[in-house]
Amino acid sequence: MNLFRAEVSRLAARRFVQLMAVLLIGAFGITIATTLASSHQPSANEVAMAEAQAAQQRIDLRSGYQRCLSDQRNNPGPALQHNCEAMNPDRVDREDFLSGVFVFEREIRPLMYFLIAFLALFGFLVGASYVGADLHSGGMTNLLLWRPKRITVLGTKLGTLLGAMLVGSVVASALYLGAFWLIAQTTGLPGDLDGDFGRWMGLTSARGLVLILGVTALGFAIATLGRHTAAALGAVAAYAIGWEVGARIVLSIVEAGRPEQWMMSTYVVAWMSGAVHLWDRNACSGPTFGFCDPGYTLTWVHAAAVLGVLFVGCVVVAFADFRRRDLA
Amino acid sequence: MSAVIEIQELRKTFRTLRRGRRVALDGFDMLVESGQVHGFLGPNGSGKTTTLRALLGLVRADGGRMAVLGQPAPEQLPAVTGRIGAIVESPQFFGNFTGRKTLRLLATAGGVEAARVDAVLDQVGLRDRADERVKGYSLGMRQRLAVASALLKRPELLILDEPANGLDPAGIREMRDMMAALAAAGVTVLVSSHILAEIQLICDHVTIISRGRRVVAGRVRDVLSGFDRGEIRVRVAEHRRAAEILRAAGRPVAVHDDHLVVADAADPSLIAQTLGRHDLWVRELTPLTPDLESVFLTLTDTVPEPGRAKQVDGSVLPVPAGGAEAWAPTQRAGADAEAAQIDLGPMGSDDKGIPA
Repeated sequence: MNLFRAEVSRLAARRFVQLMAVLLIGAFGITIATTLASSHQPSANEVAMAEAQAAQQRIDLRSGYQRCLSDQRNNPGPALQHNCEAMNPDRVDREDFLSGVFVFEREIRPLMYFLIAFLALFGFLVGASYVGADLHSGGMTNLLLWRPKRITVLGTKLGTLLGAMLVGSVVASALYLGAFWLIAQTTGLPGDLDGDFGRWMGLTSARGLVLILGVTALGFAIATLGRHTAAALGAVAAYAIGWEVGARIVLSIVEAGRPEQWMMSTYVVAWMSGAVHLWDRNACSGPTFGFCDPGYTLTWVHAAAVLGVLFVGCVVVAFADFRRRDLA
Repeated sequence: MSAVIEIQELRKTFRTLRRGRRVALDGFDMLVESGQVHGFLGPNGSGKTTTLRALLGLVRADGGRMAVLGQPAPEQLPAVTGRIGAIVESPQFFGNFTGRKTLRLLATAGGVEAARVDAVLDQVGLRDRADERVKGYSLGMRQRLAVASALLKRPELLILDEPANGLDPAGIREMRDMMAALAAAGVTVLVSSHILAEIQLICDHVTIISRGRRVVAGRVRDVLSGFDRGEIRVRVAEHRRAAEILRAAGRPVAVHDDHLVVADAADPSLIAQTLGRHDLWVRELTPLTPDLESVFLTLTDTVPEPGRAKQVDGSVLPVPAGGAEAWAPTQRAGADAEAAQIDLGPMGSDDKGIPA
C-alpha cells in the first residue's frame, strides 16, 4: 500500500504526465470550442423545412428500397444486403437536413472515437515515459534498494498506471461527453437517443476503455524491455512505417489475398466496431461455379484474441525479462 | 564480532553482443564484520560496483555465495533491506522533484515515518535547499541527497559507493565526520572510494580488489605494516660519501638527488652514530611508512610508468611519441604557462616506501 501511494505521488508529480494532461485538455478544449462555435439552435422554420425534406426523401427511397429487397431475396449475398440497408427510408431523419446544427446522437459517434484515440495515445506515451524514465534515470535502482522485490515493484508501477488511466479515462470521458451534451442542449439537438444509441454508447465506452488500458500496458511493456521511453516510441514508429505501410505495399505487390488480416490496425477497427468486413483478393480469381463471395469478416472476438495476445504477451515478456536482468 | 557481509567465490561475467564476454568478478571473497568501517578499494573496472550491485540484488551473480546481516543474498534481501542503507555509484534523481519530495517518496515507499526526512536533510546539510528542484543541485548536493536517502532507514549497515564523489573539501570532511559518528553509534559502514587518503583516515579495515579478485584484506594498519620495509630517509651533507660509509657498514642504501633512503633500518639512531663517527652530521632522519595509496598501486599493479599508459583492462600502451607534447593542446597560444604545470611523470615520489 505504501509503495502504491508512493507510485501515485510519483506519477502525478511527473512533468511529462502533467504536460501530456495539459495537451489532452487543450485538444479536447479546441474540439469542444469549435463544435460550440459551429452549431446553432435551429429555428422552427429550419426544423419544418428539414422535416419536409426528410419526408420527401423517404418517399423517393421507398420504391428503390423495395426493389433492392426483392433482388436480395432472389440473389442472396452480403454485399447486396448492405446496399439495401443504405437505402432504407426509415433511416432518414430530419437531422439529415439540418446543417450547422450539432446533433448529439449523430456527431458524438466520431467524437467518441477521437476521444478514445487521444486517450490511447496519452496512455501509451505516459506508460512508456513512466517506466522508461525510471529505468533510464536510475530511479528504479533507487526504489529497488528500498524494495528489493522486482516483480512487486514493477507490478505496482503497472497497477498504479492502469488504475490512474482507468480513473482518468472515466473522468475525462464524463467531462467530454458532458460538454457535448450541454452543447446539444443549448445550441444543438440531442437527436434520437433510443435503446440502440444506449447500447452503442455502452459497448463503445467499454471497448474503448479496454483498448486504452491495453495500449497503455503495451507502452509500459515495450519501454520496460527497451529500458527507455524512446524504445516504445521507436518500436511504434518502426511498426507503423515498416509493417503497416511497408509490408502493406509489399503484400499488395505480391498480390497477397488478405493483407489486412496481418495488420494490427485492422484488429483495432474490428475491436471498436464489433466487426470489419474485408475482401479476399484471390478468393474468386480461379475458376468459379455460381456465386463467389470474396468477403470475409473479422469480428471483435478475433480482435480480442489478437490484441489480447499482443498486450498480455508483451507485459508477460517484460516482467520475465525485468525479473532476471542486471540493472544499471 | 558477527559477520555483516560475507561474500565467497563471487563470480560474474557480462556478455554483450557488441563487447563480447567480460569477466567482472572472478571468485571474489569479502568479509565485513559488525561495527567496522570497511574500505573497499580497487581500480576502475576492478569489480567494486559489480560486487555492491550483486550484494544489493541489482546484478545477478553467476556463482558464489553472499550473505548480508546473516541472510542469504539476494534471496532473503527483502527480510533485511529495512536495515540497510545504500548508495551505488552516482545515484540519479528526477530533476523536477525537490530534494524533500524525493526523500518523502522513498520514505513512503519504504514505510519510514515522514519526520525522518527532515532529520536526514539536517544531517547531510541540505535543509535550506530541500525545497529546490534536484536539477538545480550541484553534483555534491546530489551526493548529499543520496546519502540522506541511505540514512532514512536508520540503517545498521551503510553501503556507500564513492560517497565523496563531487563533494568539496568541506563536504568530504563532513562526510568523514558523519561516517565516524555513524560508526561510533554502532553502524557498520562499507565504503568504496578512490580517495585513498580518506579511506586511510576513516577506515579500520580494508579490502582491495583487482581484476575481480581480492588481493588483500584486513586491518588497515596490518595491511600497511606488511609493506613496511623499515626505510629511513636521511639528509646529510656529502650524501654520496655517506652512502659509501653506510654500504660499508652493511646497510642497503638508495642514493637520490639530495637524500638517501636506507632500508632495513630497525634503529635509526645507529645510522646517525655510524655517520657521526666519520664527521658527517645528519640533518634529517625520517622513517618512511607506506601509505594506502602506494600499497594500493602496488597490489593492483597500477603504478604509473613513464612512457606507458595503463588501460583499465590491465593492458599497457605506449604513450604517443612526443610524450606530453603529443597530448598538449594544438592551440598553443596562451597555454604555455598551463602546460608547464602538467606533470605526466610518475605520480608520487620514489620514496613512498613501495617495495621493488
